[in-house]
Amino acid sequence: MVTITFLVTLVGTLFLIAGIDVFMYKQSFFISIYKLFAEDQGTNEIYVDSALVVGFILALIVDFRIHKNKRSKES
Amino acid sequence: MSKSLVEKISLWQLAVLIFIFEIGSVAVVGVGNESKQDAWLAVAIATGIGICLISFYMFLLKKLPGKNIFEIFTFCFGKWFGKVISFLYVLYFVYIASRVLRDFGELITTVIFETTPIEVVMITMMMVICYMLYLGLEVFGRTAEVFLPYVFSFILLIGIAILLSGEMEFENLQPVLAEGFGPIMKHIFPKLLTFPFGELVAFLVIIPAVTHFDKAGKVSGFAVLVSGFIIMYQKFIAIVTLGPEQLDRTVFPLLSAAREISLLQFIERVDLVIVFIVMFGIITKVSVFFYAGLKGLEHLVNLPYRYFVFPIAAIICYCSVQISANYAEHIEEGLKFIPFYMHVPFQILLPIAITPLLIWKGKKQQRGTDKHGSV
Repeated sequence: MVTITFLVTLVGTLFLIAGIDVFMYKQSFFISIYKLFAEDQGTNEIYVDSALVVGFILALIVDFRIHKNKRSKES
Repeated sequence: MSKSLVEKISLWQLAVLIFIFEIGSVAVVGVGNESKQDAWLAVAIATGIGICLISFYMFLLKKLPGKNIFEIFTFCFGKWFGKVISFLYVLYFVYIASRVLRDFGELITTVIFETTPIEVVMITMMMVICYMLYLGLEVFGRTAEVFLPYVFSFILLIGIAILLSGEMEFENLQPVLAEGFGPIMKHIFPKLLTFPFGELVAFLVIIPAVTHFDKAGKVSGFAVLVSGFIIMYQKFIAIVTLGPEQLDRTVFPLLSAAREISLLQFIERVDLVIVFIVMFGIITKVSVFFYAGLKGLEHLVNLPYRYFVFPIAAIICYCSVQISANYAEHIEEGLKFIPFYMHVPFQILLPIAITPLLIWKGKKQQRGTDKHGSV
């Protein structure tokens, strides 16, 4: 559930950011989304990309632990 | 089954959190600059309206004591629609946390760590916030309590030091109300009212966790009043030191004012003190929004909020970089879009919309209780 929540929140927030860009800069929604994922030259976006991957892995670990605890309680 | 722990903070801790939250990013970007030399007056009026706003939020919370805003939504709109509204609030809190974190990152990379990537600054800051929130609301409250004397005394000393440096020109305050109250009122609503006072909507998640809930209204109002005075004081310092024209051009007003300090040709470059105030203010502000978002997720999926701390922190870090390509774009969005299309609906319209429903459903529930009680 934590992983699903992580993904839904991420998608929701990215859609919100893209929506704001559509409103502010009068560009299409798909271009806004593309710009979000395009790696800008000379920036260090790779750091936050890595942080996001770590966040996703942590969400998977938490889910695995919840599942394990549930199974050990049942048995 | 929910495994959430009962966490309580004292009234004093609530007051401290509100105080530091309010002065947080105001110290970075400044408020009411459009009102020029009357900005301090605009802040004074906005503080009065801010007290009314927090009283309104308290009115909502008192209708269902012990319940936070997400539980109130479920009570008013039912399970599913209530969850949809709650999820929108979660997105709002996460997005605003990202914006506040970006403010801080921009300040630090402009003023102190000029060669350090902004991403590294923000990830480091977020790790501190994660640790604090993982330990719980009580630890968060105590941390704010510990740092308050430094924040408060540094802000007061900055003004005194600029005065003693002879950099204040009180003529900068004149003419007072040159164009009347009209332009000031235009700046107050929605910009000044929503930032920073309307952002107190995040406290609708924290106030139910206060030990003496019945006194929380008065304490919150008093904290907003004190923080309003401090923001006025900051504004006053910035106006008399920089003047209205320079104030309008400056990116970080209070920081620029603090750079004017030069005492005995010895005490100089005290802008680091401002960075300290801002740093703690931002930690508090991001934490409050982050905590509010986490409690929303806890309510939505019925799992303890601690499970989400690290994953959602990663999203906040990621979004703080993605929200805009540069600082100019970030500020433009903050002035043209956020106050009108995000702050007003989430801080004012939705809480007003649920009020009649809350009163009606509360009365209905009361009648039901009385009926069962009398049988």
